Amino acid sequence: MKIWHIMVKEILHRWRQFALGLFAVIVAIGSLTGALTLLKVHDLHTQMILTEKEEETRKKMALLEDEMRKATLKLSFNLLILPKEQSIRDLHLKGYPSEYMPEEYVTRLADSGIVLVRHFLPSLQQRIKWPEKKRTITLVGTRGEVPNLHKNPRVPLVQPVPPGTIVLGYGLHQSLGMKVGDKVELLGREFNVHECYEERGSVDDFTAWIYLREAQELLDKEGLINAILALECLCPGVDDLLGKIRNQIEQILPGTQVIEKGTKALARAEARVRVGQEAKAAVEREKQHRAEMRSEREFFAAVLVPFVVVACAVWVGLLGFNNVRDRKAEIGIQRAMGFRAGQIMFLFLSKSLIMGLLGGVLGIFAGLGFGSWLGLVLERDIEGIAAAELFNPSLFLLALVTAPVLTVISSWIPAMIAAQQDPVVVLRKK
Amino acid sequence: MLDVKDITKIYHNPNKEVKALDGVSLNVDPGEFVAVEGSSGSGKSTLLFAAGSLLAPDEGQILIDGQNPYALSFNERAKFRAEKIGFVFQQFHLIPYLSVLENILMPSILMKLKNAHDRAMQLIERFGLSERIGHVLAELSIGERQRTALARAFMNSPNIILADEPTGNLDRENAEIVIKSLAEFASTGGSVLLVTHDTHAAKYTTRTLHLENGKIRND
Repeated sequence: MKIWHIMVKEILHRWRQFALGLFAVIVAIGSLTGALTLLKVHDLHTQMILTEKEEETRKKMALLEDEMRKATLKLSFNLLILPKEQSIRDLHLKGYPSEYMPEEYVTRLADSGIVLVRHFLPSLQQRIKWPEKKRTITLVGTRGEVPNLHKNPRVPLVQPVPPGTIVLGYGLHQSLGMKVGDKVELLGREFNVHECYEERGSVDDFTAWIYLREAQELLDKEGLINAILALECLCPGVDDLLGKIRNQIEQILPGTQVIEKGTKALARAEARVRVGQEAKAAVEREKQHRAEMRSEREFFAAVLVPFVVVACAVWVGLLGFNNVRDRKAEIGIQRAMGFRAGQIMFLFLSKSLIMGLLGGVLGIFAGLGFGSWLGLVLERDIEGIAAAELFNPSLFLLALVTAPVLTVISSWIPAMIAAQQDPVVVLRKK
Repeated sequence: MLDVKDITKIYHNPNKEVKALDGVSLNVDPGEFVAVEGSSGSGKSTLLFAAGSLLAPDEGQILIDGQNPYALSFNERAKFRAEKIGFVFQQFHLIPYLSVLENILMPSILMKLKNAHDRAMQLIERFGLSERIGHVLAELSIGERQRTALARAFMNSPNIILADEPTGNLDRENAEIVIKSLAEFASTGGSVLLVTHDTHAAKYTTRTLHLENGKIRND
């Protein structure tokens, strides 16, 4: 018979006491493993969410980039051709050009053979008082696009305003209560409302468009215009497109200057970039949210786990003291027979070691199970996380070492007391 | 074998000092079966514990096989006890969760005896415990318990058996078995120091000493 035989028999004899100790170790290691498993579930779920979101963003961005590519193919520059003496500062301050140039310039451009511009839109613009309606508006006279005769004809981008009609911006037709088909008087001349524009959120909302010739007559600027809008200045693959067009136009019309006008395509591209940025920001916000959740759980685990571990260690220690008290007579006779202090300690500590090893292994699986379950409750959609992903061999080893160390330390003092027990005190009792 | 020389043991209680042994001297030679009789509180158990190297006397000297166990270290003394001394107590002090065989085998752990199992089986047969070999304490009669304790004391073939009122809880028949067994042990060259107030043991002992107030009255 070996000494461990006594230890095993004692465990079987006082199995309830052993089971209570074992339970404490399972709880301690289970809470440690459970907390770490929960964090692992959280991390895996975070990874899944972020991967999903990043994939979604990537797809969205790819789609946007594709749209951008398509849009870029059609992207054109809109240029504004102004009289040379026109101050750009004034233009931006007033919102319309204040200098004039001959309307004949448009014809000259269209006939010039310039290849980089598709359409020309001459206009006469002026801020006027509308005496009949008692308000100030921007009046634009336009005759529609003049096509470049040297380019393939295309559908005009801007529909001309027919003579005798007027097109009203949103702010005007709303405030005047006008609709298509109504008649309205402007500077003593009657016009039919041809179109009412939707809101644009620009000066256009308080602008009225009439036929160019009529505008020239009303404003006493016959044969004059103050801007030519060069539309669809398109030439893919040409570097410094703007500079080339400018040079061409300025050679044809020396008395003019050319500035770039923002395009809707560019605005759409910017909007798409903003959408992309917003999608990325959403991913970042999700990351931040998940990091905060993890931090909260880490804090909870950092407080709870040590408390549980210490409580369980104390519990194992108390069970050890109780075990020593129960075994006083047994220790007494063993000491009398010649068991050395080390052998008595071995009987107690080896039991604690087994308790720790067994509790450690069971605690790991209990913790894995509980952590996974709690993860399922807290994270909800964690399908696809395999149990194997949650099993950490390092953690397994750590728990396998920590649990026996914990139980041996907890049982050390009771074992010392047992080893130092005076056998005479026990054996004297009759 | 056992040589007790003028030993004194005083218990220091909070209220008073009790002189349990007062200059006690005795010797038990090999083959001797010595009984120490005395009333309760006379110092019999103190003498037994002191002789068993469990309780160091305040004065005097104890020699077992010519060696003073109290001169040894704690662990050396434990080993010394395992080799030289067998104990039998009134309360048996069997390990409750071990079987009869395991209880008897327990001292062999300390000595790493060869053929320990065979020796244990011989003792089981000798003490009539063959039917109880796998039984634990709760399943044994009082007599069987004491016979198991006796077999355990014999397991390591000690030089001396120290028995503290081993028949105190036994009926006449079992008491007879225990005393006879101790006498047989003595007859094979062993030494036995029996502490008892059972006067029936006297017919088997070689000497009987009377202890009164910590002193031997006659030898």
